[in-house]
Amino acid sequence: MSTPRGVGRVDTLVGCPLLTALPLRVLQALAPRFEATELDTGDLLFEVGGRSASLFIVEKGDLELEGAEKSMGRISRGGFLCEESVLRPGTHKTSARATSPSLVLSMDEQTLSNLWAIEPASAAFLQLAIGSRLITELRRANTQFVSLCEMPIDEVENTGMRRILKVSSNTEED
Amino acid sequence: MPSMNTTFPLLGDLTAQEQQGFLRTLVQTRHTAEEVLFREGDPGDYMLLILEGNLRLSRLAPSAEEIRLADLGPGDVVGEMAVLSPAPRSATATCLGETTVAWLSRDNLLERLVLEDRAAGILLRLCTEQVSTRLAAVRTRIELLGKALSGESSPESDAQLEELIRMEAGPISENLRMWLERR
Repeated sequence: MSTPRGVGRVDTLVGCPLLTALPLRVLQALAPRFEATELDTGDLLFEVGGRSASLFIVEKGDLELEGAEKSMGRISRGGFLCEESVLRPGTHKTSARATSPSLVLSMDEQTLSNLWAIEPASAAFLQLAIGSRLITELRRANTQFVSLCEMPIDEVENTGMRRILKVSSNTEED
Repeated sequence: MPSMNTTFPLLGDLTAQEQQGFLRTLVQTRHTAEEVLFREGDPGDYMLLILEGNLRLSRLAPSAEEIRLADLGPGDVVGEMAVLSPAPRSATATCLGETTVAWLSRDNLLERLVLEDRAAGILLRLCTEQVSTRLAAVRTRIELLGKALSGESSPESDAQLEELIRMEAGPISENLRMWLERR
């Protein structure tokens, strides 16, 4: 069973790659805004299909990300999850389960929104860190998309796809 | 003089007067037709807010052919991603006529955020939201195209992809066109 337990520690934020470039005074301001939750081995932090509106940072322990019938990766101390959710809440596409006794920090969308009103500079630097991370993801995704577009046509088995591309070609020629 | 009526969607709910107040604090420069403001591959750590005139964004295809990505006008911004995360420019920005732009560098933005400048905060929030929206859109494209290429698509996802390709302009449709030409 997960249990809320106190607030975040600055040294955990300092060790998180998402936040490592932020000034110490910003991290000191952010730390008490994070909520700490204790998990026993086997506890779920979140479940696939559940609402995703919080950024998570692992302070202690390990989490396994579970997709449909398979592991999607492991997150340990300093690792972070769902950073996009505080900007764009959605639904979890995986579940996260503790594989050892763990302590996880979280900040939800509402807390970040409130922070903009009371400590705009701290909120701004957190938003900037998340924004930089999303841009890295966007650049990677664009590269992946272009790679898919450059896939040799003879590797495409799907006749439906050939039809779509034919339509696209005709449209552009028009 | 640039028009003082230009408003920027990326400055959100700031009043026109507040927007103008913010813009007046930025360095503004005036340019002539054909002038290149930055080139693909140049280091990028600033954004431009178009006050007057028009800019064309383009990039070079491997064939050295120029691919037009977008024409932008007053109220549009260029290079906002570079302010959040500096990187080489992915396109060239060329003035299509007399053009006036305001410059906002990453350092300037950071200074403003430290000083709790409201306009800078709004700009940052809307830029990151825009990036998040773009990321979601690219992920959808990857999912649809990946399914189609691997033969796992459904009639519904094929229809979505077909619609997406029809609506696309710029580098994506260009890549698909190049793909078709190699058949």
